[in-house]
Amino acid sequence: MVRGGGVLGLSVIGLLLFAFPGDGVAQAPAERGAAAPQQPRIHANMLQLMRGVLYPASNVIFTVQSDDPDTFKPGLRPSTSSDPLTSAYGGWAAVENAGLALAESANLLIIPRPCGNGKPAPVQAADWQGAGASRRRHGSLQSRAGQERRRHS
Amino acid sequence: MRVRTVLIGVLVTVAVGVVLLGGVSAQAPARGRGAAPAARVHGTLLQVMRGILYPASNVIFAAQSDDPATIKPATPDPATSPNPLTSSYGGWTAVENAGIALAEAANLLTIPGRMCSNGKPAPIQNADWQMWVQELRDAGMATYKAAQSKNQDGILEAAGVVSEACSHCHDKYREVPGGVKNRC
Repeated sequence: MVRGGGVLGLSVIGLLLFAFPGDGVAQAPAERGAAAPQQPRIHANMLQLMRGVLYPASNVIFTVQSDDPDTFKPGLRPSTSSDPLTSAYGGWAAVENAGLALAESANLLIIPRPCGNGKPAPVQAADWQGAGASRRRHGSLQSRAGQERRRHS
Repeated sequence: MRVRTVLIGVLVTVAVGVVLLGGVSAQAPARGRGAAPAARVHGTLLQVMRGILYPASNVIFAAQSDDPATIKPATPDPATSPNPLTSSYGGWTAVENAGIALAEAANLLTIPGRMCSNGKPAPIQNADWQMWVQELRDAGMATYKAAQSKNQDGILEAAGVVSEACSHCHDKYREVPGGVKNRC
């Protein structure tokens, strides 16, 4: 009887350990002076995010289809130029940075937020997430292309 | 008797297993819907700064000296202007958008796995880091509101808030002795 109860007890304990492995370790307190990671906060709907981050970065990339970034002269005050292509990090560096901006902005598109019309953006939809992955890839490619071009110029 | 007890043990094990597995399957994604993807890091902190925060800040700083209402759309096609102030969403709208960009980019500064340009992990867990990230959010939204009012004095004030937010963090993590190898 005792032996049978032992089998039962061990089975249940084994299943519980399997179900919650290392839970205590994962919740270990943060180091002294450290704060828990922040949750993302929403300040804009999808339309505002597009116009604030993705649209300007895309336009830098589109511009260099027709205008060679090497030919852009720095602005009058490059460090505060509002045109990235004529800024202190202008020319090909600006293209590189724009690609990076697109890839990183994909992280902002997966944060649940409303569309411009107030309805929730379908951030959970599989095709939405696929488009996000594609944006990351293209952004990274643009960034690499900018780096390559800078290396060879 | 012993066989019966072992049999009960097996049955209970199976029952508990079914309950636990049932819990797991309840968390499976619905058809056509993916699980929420985790944020992915593509650039160092320096690259994020130069890719998003630096250009957005420059739009705000430009609006201090040049009235956004007087900036004309780029020719021949504002839709693809690389300068936000002369784009289709130019003028004061560009300043509003730049404020939004700063506030939202703050989310990118707290993604685990972000590295500094020197290859060390960005100190996103530090209490002061998080405080200054919040300051950046506030500065972005202050700019957004000032731009909505289309008041250049308001932008002067908001640009000051932005500068201050930048300085607080840069003073500790960027302007450090030893240059690039020590700075984040």
